[in-house]
Amino acid sequence: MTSITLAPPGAAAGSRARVQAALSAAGVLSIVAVWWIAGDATRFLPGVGEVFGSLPTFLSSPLVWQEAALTTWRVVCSLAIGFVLGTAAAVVMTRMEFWGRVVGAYVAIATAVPSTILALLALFIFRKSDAGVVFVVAVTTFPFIAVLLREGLRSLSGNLDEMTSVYRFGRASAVRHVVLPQVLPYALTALRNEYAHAWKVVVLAELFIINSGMGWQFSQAFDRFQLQRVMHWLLLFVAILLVTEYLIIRPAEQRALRWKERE
Amino acid sequence: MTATLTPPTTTTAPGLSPRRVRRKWPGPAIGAAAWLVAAVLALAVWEAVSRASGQWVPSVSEIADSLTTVLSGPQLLDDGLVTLRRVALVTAASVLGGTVIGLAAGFCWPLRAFLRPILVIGLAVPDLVYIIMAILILGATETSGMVAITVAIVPLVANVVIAAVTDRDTSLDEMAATYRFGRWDYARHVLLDQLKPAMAAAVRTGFAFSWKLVVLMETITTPDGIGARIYEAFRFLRPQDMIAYALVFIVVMKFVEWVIVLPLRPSARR
Amino acid sequence: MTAQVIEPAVGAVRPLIEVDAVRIGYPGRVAVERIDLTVAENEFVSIIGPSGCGKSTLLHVLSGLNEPLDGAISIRGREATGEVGSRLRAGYVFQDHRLLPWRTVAQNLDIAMKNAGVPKAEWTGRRARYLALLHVAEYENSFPMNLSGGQRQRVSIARALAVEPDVVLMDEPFSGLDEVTARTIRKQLDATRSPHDPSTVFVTHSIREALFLSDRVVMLSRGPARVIKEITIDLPRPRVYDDPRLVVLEQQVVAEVLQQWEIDTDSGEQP
Repeated sequence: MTSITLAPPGAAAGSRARVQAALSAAGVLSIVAVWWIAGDATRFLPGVGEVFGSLPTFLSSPLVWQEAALTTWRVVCSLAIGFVLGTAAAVVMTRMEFWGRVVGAYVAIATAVPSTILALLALFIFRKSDAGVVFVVAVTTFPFIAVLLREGLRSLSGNLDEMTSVYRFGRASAVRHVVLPQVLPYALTALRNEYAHAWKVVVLAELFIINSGMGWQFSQAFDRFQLQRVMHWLLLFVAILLVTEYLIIRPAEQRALRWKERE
Repeated sequence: MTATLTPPTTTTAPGLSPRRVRRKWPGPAIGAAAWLVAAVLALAVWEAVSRASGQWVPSVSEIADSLTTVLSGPQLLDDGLVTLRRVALVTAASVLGGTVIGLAAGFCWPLRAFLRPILVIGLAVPDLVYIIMAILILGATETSGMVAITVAIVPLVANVVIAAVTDRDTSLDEMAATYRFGRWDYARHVLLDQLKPAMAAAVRTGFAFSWKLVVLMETITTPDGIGARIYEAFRFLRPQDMIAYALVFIVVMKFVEWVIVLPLRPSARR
Repeated sequence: MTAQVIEPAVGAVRPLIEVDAVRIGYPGRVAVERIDLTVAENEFVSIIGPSGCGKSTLLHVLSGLNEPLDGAISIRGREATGEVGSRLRAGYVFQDHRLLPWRTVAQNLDIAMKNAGVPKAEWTGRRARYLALLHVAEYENSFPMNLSGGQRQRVSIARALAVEPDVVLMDEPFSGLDEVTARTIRKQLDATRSPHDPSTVFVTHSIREALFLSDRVVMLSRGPARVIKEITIDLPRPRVYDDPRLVVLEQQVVAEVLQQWEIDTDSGEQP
C-alpha cells in the first residue's frame, strides 16, 4: 500500500527559490504565447506584435499620462477617505456597544451594494463630478477596511494591556507603542487588498459617471470598436497597478514588519 | 500558549483592549434595535439629501411607490429568474474552475509558482475590461458576458483556495506519515476536513462576486435581467425605479447568500 | 561624659508595605481569603503556594491592577487602600516577558522609563547599568524576537529595575525557562543583591527557588488562600543553590506544606 510521503526537509531553499522564479517567468511568457496564438486565430484580437509595436506612440502622448494621473489621483483620494471612514467605523464597532452595531449595520449594507448600482446612484446625487467617482470608490472600499481593522482591534493582547497598566503608560504612549503596532498588519492587509479593489472600481465609476480618466478611455475605445486602444490602456493600467503595488506597498509592508524576522 | 486568567480589570491606566461591558439588555434585542435605528437614520438622511438635490434624488415616498409597482409587476419574476439563472451558472463555473486550479496549485508548488503571475495579472484587470474585451472579441451575447465574468472571478476563488490549502495545519501530515496512512485514508481523514473551510470560502467568495458582476454585465450587454431593468430606469431618468429594483435585487441576493452560508458555516473547532 | 547617641529602634522604621487582613478576589470568586503581610525596605519576600491559589492576584493588588475586597493596605505607614496604584511605583516581571516585540530592547526600557516619569537625561545611564547588571548589555539594539527566552526574561527584569521602583513584583518569572537558564539567572540575581535594592515580592511554586532567593518566605494554602506559615531565612549571601541547609529546610517545608495542601484538597476546598 503506497503511503504518503513528506517533502524532504533538507531541500535547499536557495535552489527552490530559483526554480520558482523560473517558473513564474514561464508563467508570464505563457500569457504572451497564448496571446500570440490567439492573435493569429481570431481576427478581432490584435496580435502581440501589433499592440507592442504601436505602444511607444501611445505612451508618448501627454494626454495619456494626464488621464492616468487623474485616475491615480482619484484612487488615492478615495482610498484615503475610505481609510478614515473605515478606521472610525472600526473604532466605534469595537468600543461602543449600541452605536457599534448601528455602524456595523451600515458596514454590512455597504458591502452588499454592487458598485455598478452605487455608480448609477452617484450620478444622480453628484451628477457628473469627481465627487461622484470618489464617493463610489470610497463607499465601496471603506467597509472592507472597517472589517479588517475591527479584527485587528479585537485581537489586541490583553497581556500587553496588563503590562501597560502596571507600568502606568499614558494614553498616547499606549496607543503609539502598543495598539498601533498590533493593528498595523491588519491595516497593511487592508491597504493591499483595497488598493487593488479601488483601481477596479474607479474604472467602473469613471465609465458611468464622468468624461475623464482611464475608465472613460476604456469606454471610448469600446464605443469606437478600437480593440487595440483597449489593449494599450489595459497594459498601462496593469503596469501602473502592479508597479505601485510591488514597488511601494509591499516593501512598505516588509519594512514595517521587520521586527518579526528571526536572525 | 498558557491560559491566563483575564478578569475584568479596574485599571488605573486607560485600558485599550475591547471592554467587557455588562449589558442591560439581551443581545438580540440590542441587535434589532440597532438595525432599526440605523434604518431610521438612513431614511432621514436620504430624505434630507433628496430635498437638497432638487429633483435629482428621489424622496423616500417616491421610492416606496416604485417599490410597490415593481413588486406587483409580473415582469419582476421574469427578469429575476433570468438573472438568477445567470448567477447560478457563473457561480458554478467560477467555483469549479477556481477550486480545481486552487487545489492543484495549493498542493503542487511548481504549479503555484508558474500560475502566480497569471493570477496576479488576472486579478489586476478590471472586471469591466474583461466584459468589454469579451464583447469586442466574441460579440455582445449573454455567453460572452458570462465567460468574461467567470474569467474575472476564477483567480479570486483560486487564491482563496490556495491560501486555505497552504495555510492548513501540516503537522497532521507528519502524524499521518509516521502512522503510515495510505493515500485514500489520508485524503479522507486528514485532507478533506481541512479543505472544507476552503471550499466554503470558495463558494461564498464565488457567489458574492458573481451576482455583483452579473448585474454589471446586464447593464452593459443584454436586454433582459434585473441589471438591464436598472440601467433602463437609469437611462429613462427614473431613479426611483432604479433604486426600487436595486433594493429588491440586493435583498434577494443577500437572502440567498445567507441560505448558502448556513450549511457551510465553519463547524466548531474540535 | 560622652553624649549618648540614641539610635532609633529598628522596629520603629515603618515597613514599605503592610497588608492587613486583606481579602482579594473577583465578583463571584474569592482568590485570597485573608492575608497579612509586611514587606520591609530592601527585603526579598517570596510567596509560595499551589497553582491557582491566588498568588498572582495578590501581585495584581500590589501593582494597582485590582483592589482588595476587604482589609487595609498601608504604604510607609500611611493608609493607601484603593490608591495603591498611584502611591506605589512597581516594576513588574511577568511569567511571559511581555516586552514589546516591535521595539528594540533599548526602546522597551526607554518607553517604560518615560511613562514612569524618569527624566530623559537619565535614560542612557540607567539602560546601560541595568542591562549590564542582567548580562544583556550587548543586545541593546536587538528586537526581542531575536533573543532567547532567558535573555528576554533578563531584559524584562532590567526594565523593572530601570524605572527604579519602590517594589519589584515578580510573577513566576522563571517557570517558563529551562532549568539551566533559570539557575543561572537566579544565581546572578542573588549575587547582585545590595542594601540599595528595592523590595521584592516574588511569587513562585518552586519551594527551593523561594528559599534560595528570599529573606522571608510566606506560604499560602489552596484557594481561597490564607497564610499557613512564614519562614525567615538567615543564611548569608551569596548563597549556594545546593547548600545542604537549604536542602534540609526545603524538605521540612515540603513535608509540612504538602500535608497542609492535601488536607485542603481532602476537605473539599477546591481552587
